[in-house]
Amino acid sequence: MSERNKIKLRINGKEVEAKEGEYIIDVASRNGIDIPHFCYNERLERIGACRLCIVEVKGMDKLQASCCTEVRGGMEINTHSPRVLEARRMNMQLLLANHALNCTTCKENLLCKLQRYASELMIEDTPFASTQRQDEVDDSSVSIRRDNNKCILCEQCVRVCNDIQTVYAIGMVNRGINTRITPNFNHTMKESSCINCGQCVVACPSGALTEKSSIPEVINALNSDKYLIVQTAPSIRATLGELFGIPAGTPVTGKMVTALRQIGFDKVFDTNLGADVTIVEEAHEFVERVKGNKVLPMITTCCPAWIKFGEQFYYDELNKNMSTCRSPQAILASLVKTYYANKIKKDPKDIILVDIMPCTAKKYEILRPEFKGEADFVLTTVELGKLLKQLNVDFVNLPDSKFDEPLGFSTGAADIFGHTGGVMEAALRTAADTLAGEDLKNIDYKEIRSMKEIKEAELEIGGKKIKVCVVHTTGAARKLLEQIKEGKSPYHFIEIMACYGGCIGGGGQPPPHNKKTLAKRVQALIKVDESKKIRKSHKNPAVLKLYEEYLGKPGSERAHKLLHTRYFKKSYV
Amino acid sequence: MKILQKVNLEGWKKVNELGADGTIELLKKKGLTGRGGACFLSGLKWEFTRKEKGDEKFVICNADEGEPGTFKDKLILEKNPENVIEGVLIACYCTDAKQAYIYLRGEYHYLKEKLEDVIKKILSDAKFDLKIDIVEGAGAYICGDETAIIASIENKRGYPHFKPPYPPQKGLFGKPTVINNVETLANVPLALVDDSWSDGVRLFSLSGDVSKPGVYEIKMGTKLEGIAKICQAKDPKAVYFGAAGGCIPYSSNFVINVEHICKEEAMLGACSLIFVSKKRNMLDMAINITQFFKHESCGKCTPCREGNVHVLKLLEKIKSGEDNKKDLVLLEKLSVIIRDTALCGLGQSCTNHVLTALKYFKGDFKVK
Amino acid sequence: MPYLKKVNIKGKDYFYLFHTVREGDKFKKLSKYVGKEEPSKEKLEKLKEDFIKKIKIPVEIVEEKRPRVNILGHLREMQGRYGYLPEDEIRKLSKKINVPVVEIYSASTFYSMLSVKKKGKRIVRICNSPSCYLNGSLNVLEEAKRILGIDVGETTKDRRFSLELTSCIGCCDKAPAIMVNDELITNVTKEKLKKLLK
Repeated sequence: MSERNKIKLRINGKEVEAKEGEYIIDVASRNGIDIPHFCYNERLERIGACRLCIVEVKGMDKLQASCCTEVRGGMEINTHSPRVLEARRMNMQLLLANHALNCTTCKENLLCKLQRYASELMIEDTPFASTQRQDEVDDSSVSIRRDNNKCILCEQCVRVCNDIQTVYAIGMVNRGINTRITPNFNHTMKESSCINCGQCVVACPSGALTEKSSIPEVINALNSDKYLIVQTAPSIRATLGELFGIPAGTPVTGKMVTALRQIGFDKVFDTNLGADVTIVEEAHEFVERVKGNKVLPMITTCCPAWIKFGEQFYYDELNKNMSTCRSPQAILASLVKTYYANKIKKDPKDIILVDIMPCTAKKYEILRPEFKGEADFVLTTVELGKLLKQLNVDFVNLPDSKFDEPLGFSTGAADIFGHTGGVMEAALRTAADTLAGEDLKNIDYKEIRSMKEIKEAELEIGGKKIKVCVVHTTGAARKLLEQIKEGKSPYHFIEIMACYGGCIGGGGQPPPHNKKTLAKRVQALIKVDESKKIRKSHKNPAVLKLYEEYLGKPGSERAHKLLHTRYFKKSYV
Repeated sequence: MKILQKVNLEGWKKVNELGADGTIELLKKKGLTGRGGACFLSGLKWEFTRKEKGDEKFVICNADEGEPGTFKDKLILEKNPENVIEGVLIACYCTDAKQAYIYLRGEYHYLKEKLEDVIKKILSDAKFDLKIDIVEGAGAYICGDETAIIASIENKRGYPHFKPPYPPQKGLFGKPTVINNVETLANVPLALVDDSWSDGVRLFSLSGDVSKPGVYEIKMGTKLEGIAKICQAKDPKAVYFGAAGGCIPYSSNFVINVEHICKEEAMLGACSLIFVSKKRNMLDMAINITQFFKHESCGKCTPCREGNVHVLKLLEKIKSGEDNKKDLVLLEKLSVIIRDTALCGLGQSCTNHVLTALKYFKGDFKVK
Repeated sequence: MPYLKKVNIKGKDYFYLFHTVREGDKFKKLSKYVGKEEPSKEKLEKLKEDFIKKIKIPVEIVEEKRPRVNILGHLREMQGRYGYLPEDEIRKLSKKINVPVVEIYSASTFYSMLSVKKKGKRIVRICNSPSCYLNGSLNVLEEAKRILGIDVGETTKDRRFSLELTSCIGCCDKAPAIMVNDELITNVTKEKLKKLLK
């Protein structure tokens, strides 16, 4: 904080310091006061619409929205005076009069911000007649359920979808009390340009947007006589604990495996092994492209939301830039239903594979015709939390245990798949070795680890200059894609993740997705990576064995059949 | 009427003599204030914009007159558009804007063609490099708010934006922008050239239970009795200042000026007086005006969007004659909280009419 | 990668490392002074490495500019031509001006003079704001309902008329007033209405 623009003000009588241009809500938050808010989100444009974060400022006649009022020197602010509390309570009551009040039977029960604030403000009734709308629930999407009867019009979803992701699937429609959030011309989510990333689900504070649940199907499966296999994505171990009160940034790999085994899975496999295989194939593909002067930049394709984004908006121009490699999930799924089924001599039809993913778009991915018959169900991190609670698993006190062989061993390179820049770093570790023809020691590519939306680096590998770029959020990706389209891209290799922060910020991860929490999750994954002896995918003995026993060489015919895919142009309304 | 006197680019000539800074100084000295209702010194607004750095600046003429009972801008645009355009020209000159917009409310579509001709003529006569475009609204009261006009010209929904930043700092397309009302701009050349010009003379739109409704030039400080006489008000009981300004009981000796009305917890706004006769019930008026606000609330902020629905419900319930003690208390509390917490000027003033009616005419709200 | 270059300043030689980075649409040249003598090969590699480590290659995010087209004007024209805003036409407009459909749709539904639903050929809007209300707008409304045989928000079967209420249209001095499409009609009487709605 430079001295020049430092100012002093009072919040609830206590003197605090702030910088000019800061907003009241942020200064209060830094000083331990979390002013209630719905429409405010540190990553989105401030709009000051929900009027819950109002505070009293001495000398000002009206109450001020703290999310969009800048601090001034000498300001005296009261965040919880009787007048403020009364106004806040009434604005909450107005929202509740227009909200489906079926909390105990709502999917967001106990996760809901609206519910939390109602309880904190001790709202026991609403004096207003119900103005509850009777809109139809939009159940059309395979990932996201939209129930406008619970919408409080905070606009977070619209801002995430349009401003951050540039997907433009939903917008504000009509005026006044008739305002709704819908896809254009009242089309369904399925018909819209929605890429299933679920960032709107994470942003929604009132249960209007939730993931499409597969919990009942999984419970049925757990009670069937099928052989049950589960795989868990790299980022789940870094976030699942939060749902059980474990502080953010604590890896819970061992407990997670124990829990899954306890609820009835016969085998617990690690998607990380799929990630290691992805890297081997992807690095191979990249080296081939570089050596053979083929289409560059090559873009990673682990993220199903980005894939749909690309297929919708850039198919004609850029489909050749997309790596043909499947995502780790899809790779492990195909290996389970072929290699592993073969190994345990079971008909793939008698195996049920459940994926635990950070992501609502994975629900869409497993239903793609290309992957038919592979993975059966996807549960998000939040859903797994709900399932474990429903089955009364005492998660916090569980002992640790290990993944099952032969699809359970992974390297540090796979762990970092869960955060932005991780796939690139993992790929570079392997590609650098391949191009240099040696076992390189320096394997930390720190320049691509930050939370900046677009990160680039230039490296020299085996005498060749390689420019790489890492980008998260599809809005930021769009800028790079436009650049490629115009033939101006300076890059050789690009990683795209649709969600802010990568998979640790995925649409199926527990909220809140603020920068603080996301940074802790990243650190958790980096810690896991650094604690491992083997940190390069191509050194994974399990992977090497897999190639030796079954796949042959990277890029072989069988590898192509099981580990690669194709893309198709997608249309939208 | 003075406002209809054609200046024939005399103001523009004077501006060329005085230069931008001199013109701004003169306007400040003459005390020209905005006629949109906020009563801010126009010269000061221009000065802020002039001083702001920016590769591009804009001037917007707010011709989205939508306040119920207000029709003075329509008269000016019909009878003396030349002065308005000259005002725009001068505003652009003083703020270094190269592009101006006239945000014309959709309901005044019939004025568009004539305005375009006037723009063409004045720009060619003045020999000044400037682009003036007419953007037509499409029916939204909220677009009278300056930040909502900006959103509307930017092709977004007409949602208001919190202030600061004010338009002179960050306005249209993020650039410094001056927004002035039609009447203000029409007064600019007059104030510059006419020595007898005074800021105290305003255009009043008079309507309601009156025999001679119309636009009149009236001095600030005139007694209500005098105004009632001009428009031949019929047995007046109350006067509304538009819909947003709230009401006061009719009293012949009440002197009309901003401070007096403010003291009564009403707002003069754009000098629109709607007279209500003794045969009316103020509860019916409250219902009618709340219907207006419910229809025109943009829906962005919670208290105005949700609140107006409940204000109307409560008023209708009171009207139905049920035991209403609790409802009256709730109505008043809700009205205060909408006023205190809404985002924009419209939201903050949309319950003035309820609060003032409850204050002065509580009898009308009692069960019969 | 950075490269070494000898720079001659006032007759003396100095060695600099140069590196070009991209900032948004522009390119920026960065430099670092490394000494008066040419560094050895190993030293140069080390210097280059340090230099590149220090540079956080910035990628400025270029703000997307909203196109300055008067969309509202397009929409009003469309409304005038079709009597409503057809989905296909909005899609065409979206492609033409490169603005997402949902944004145009969102704006279209905000304004009361625009409609995305099919309406009658002539939209009759009756002002019910205070001045008109005090001058009998409700009688006008009742009469219009009676003549057209429809309620507010409805369209006649022959699609000739739609009936709506409107906020103040600025004709308070000639109340009651109504609007039929773009035309303002003032001092409305039953007889006038009858003629208009024939």
